Amino acid sequence: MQVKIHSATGLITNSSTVIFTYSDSCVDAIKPLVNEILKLSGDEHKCDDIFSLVITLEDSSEYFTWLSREKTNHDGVPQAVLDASSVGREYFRSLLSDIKTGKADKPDWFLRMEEDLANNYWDYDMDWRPATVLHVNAKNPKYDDLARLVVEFLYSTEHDGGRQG
Amino acid sequence: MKVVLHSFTDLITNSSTTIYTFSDESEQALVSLIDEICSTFGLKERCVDLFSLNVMPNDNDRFIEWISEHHDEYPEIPSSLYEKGSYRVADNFINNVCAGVIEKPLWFDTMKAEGMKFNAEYGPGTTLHVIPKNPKYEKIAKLVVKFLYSTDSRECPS
Repeated sequence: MQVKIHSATGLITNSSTVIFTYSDSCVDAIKPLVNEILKLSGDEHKCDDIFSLVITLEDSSEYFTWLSREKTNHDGVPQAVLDASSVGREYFRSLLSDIKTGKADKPDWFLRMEEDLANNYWDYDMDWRPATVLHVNAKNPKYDDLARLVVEFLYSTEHDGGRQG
Repeated sequence: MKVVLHSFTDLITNSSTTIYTFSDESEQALVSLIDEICSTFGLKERCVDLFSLNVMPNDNDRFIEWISEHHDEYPEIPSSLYEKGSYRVADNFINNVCAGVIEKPLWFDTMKAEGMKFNAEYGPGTTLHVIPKNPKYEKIAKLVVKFLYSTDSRECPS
């Protein structure tokens, strides 16, 4: 099952409130936009040809929380990742970096971990579903600036909470 | 002081909380993005040639109030915008100016600047409007806005 993924911008609005912004719909929203731009410019490529789109948790420490606390759902998780030492953490950081930059796909256990964190966050002493963030990686360096500006535009909004009644 | 312009997606997270999304930075971010798109794909146009961008509050209450209070100073403001029972007429007028359907009157920018200051402090957030200058850019305009507001926000009392 596909994890309900979301990208996030957290903003502390006052001393007791945090706003999480989820972007589960962003991948589906960006593809037709980029495809339309390419079409208008006479380019035959599609969004998937020029960008890899990845959504991860905004705070990577939440992955480590799962890895250290989830004891029954480790099928397929490499032993190196489960190594609680600095070596294991470095192994995971490297994998996460590769996933964020589109160099590696998310393994099944990684998807399962995100799904568990999204649906059962309270089991891991989290007050709210973990926030996530969209990464846009150019497959050709000539699109690097475009990728960066797409992300800057997406996260150009600010959020604030208000009380009613 | 920098006016906090904002575009908006508001979301009721529970019976007493609303999230307001502010996009004061979105207009410039979109200009940079569109200019880069044009440059990357060899188009000679720039954002200003393709779109009119407008950040407006999510309701026009402050503007309608401004019209009501300042129409004596601006005799060119039509009476239909401030006479009794004119709220809907004024609301439609402002929306149509923002959409490019009605030519922008000279007093409009003053009204907007003053109304925005108030909105930044007390208002209900704002929306970025992207108006294509050529029908062939209508689809991109819609997709740009859809992408900008494709996020979903929740408030978490901690």
